[in-house]
Amino acid sequence: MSGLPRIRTRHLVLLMALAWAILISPYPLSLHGWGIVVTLVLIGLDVALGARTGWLAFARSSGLDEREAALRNRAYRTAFRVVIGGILLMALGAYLSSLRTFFLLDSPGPLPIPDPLGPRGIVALLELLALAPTAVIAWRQPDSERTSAAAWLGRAMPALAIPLVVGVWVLALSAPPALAVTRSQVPTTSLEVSGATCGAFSALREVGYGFGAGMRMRAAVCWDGKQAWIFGDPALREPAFVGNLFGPTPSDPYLTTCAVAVDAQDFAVVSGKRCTESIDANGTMHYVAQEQVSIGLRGLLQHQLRIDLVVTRDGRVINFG
Amino acid sequence: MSANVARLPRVAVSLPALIATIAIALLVIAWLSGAQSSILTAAYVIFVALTIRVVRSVPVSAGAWLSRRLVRRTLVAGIALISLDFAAGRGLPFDSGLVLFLALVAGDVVLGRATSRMASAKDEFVDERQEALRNRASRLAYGMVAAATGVIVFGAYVTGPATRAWLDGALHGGPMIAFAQLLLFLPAMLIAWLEPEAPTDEPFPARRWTAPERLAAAMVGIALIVPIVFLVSPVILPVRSTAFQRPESAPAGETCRYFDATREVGLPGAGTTLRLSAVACWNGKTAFEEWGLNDSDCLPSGVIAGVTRLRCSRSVDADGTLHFIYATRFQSALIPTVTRDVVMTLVLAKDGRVVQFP
Repeated sequence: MSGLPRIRTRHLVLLMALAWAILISPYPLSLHGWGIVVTLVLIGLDVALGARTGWLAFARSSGLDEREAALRNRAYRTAFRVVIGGILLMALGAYLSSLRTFFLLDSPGPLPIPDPLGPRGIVALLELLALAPTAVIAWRQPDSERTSAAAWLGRAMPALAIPLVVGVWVLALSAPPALAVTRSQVPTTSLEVSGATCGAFSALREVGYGFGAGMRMRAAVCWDGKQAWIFGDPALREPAFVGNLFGPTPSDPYLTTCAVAVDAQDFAVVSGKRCTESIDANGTMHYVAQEQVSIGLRGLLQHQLRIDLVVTRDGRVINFG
Repeated sequence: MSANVARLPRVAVSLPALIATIAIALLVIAWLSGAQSSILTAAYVIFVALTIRVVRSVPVSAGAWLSRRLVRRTLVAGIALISLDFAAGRGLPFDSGLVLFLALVAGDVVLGRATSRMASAKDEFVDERQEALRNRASRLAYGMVAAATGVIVFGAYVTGPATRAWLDGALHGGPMIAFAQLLLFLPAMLIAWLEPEAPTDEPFPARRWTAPERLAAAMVGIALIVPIVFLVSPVILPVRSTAFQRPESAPAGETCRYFDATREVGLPGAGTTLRLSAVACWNGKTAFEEWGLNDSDCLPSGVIAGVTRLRCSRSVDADGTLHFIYATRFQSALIPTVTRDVVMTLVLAKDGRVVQFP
């Protein structure tokens, strides 16, 4: 066994539980780019606990004596209960998060784009499944004799996972923001404007395959055969005739919003979101949403995300994504 | 490696206690919302929790038949196949997968008997061999659950929008049943699979069931039958109807009337209610809708599965008679060919004569 005394081992387990709790907790609202740090801390704690237990949870049965096998197998039985409890906590956290998002931040709109679990939830679930038996073994380990530094270093070799994870993450983030999800409903059942037809549009463009940042766009577009225009965002330049026909456009963030998704900034920082609308001489509406994504604590990598939506005066969607 | 094992303090949270806690929370929510069907649902969940508790309190032995390895393995294979079917996307219990879900529950009850509920028994009730077997089964089961869940969830999340959408649906659908099944019962399934053949010379004397055993069996039966009754009731029980109408204030030259009717199908208090609540007027030339006879008004409340809206239409014929028809079809979740159509109609002539209602 390693030279770490037992009390420290249990402290490591508690620290791991704390870091895991941060991931599943509805608060803080956003980790503001610190998600990768929490993940790496968790991996570091995993390696420390693995080294402390001699990676017993993952050892081949043929290399274990009867007592070690019994300890390991029993830990797996307990780990099942830990996982069940952990998943129930995750479900509770997800429920509270959805309530918070719905009531305090932003409703998902008429066409929500699925983000099951989110990157924090995915990391938390993988951590729970992979390391629960090791955590149980570490908690149960008694004080033990010290091992040599060489042996401890050998057990700590999986620490190479930390630079490996960082490398894979940076590689994933370096890829261009390719993933674009679009949803549309034309005509939409969420909006009725007399004399016009309206459609609802939602889109997501992200970097890092879910472990970076994503820009969400939500817009309601109406058209009347003469022009198309965005409905529900008074900040956008409204065509003069629309004001004459329908009065000033009310703010309706359920349909149209240009707000930065606060809860999508766990692994990156998003800034400078802006949305612009222009209507050309043919009555075609050009809507552009843009934002700047900074990844890494010092803005190591930067991406400009952009989503375009072009709708003609008769409701044809020329470009969306 | 050391032999001294410091056990975690036992947390006094059992499955029945957990279910009961959730049910009580549901009851509170239901009470606050005033929804009668939610109260009945919560009451059912509490009954299930009680059933689990009673079943677990009764000592079991596999008996002659379930002691056979072939029978146990066949049972495990059956449970695995049903779980796979749910994992492939079959709907939640109160949908097309109800029969399979009930079969899964029944299979788990039999599985508990086949393994003497070794997987969840307290330490003092298992011998050394059983302890070793259940711990080994737990390790193997954990590896399977963790590997399958980790690969599927992570893979689906990073692969692309389609797989992420699938994952989102899976979290609310049949795959969650498969996941819960594996998480709660895979160790028992592996115990049933790994347990060696019982010695054939061991006698299994026939004996009468004790009172607690009879109670447990009856509670399991009721717990399984209640959802079936709930789901066939819309097409078996008679439809309960209410209707009334009264004069309503109207502008000069017009006369208006308020119409209110309900049709409830299914178990009283836990069924689905169709409601027509509207004001219609007439002026001698035509009858017309004031409010409540629109497409958005054709919404059943307390919906159970298998409800399809057939028609929701409003029209005025050449004679100026107003016709409103709201038709819904109820389909049995157990036998999809068994259906019942419920129609609500309002036909109002231009002179205010109520031709048909409801």
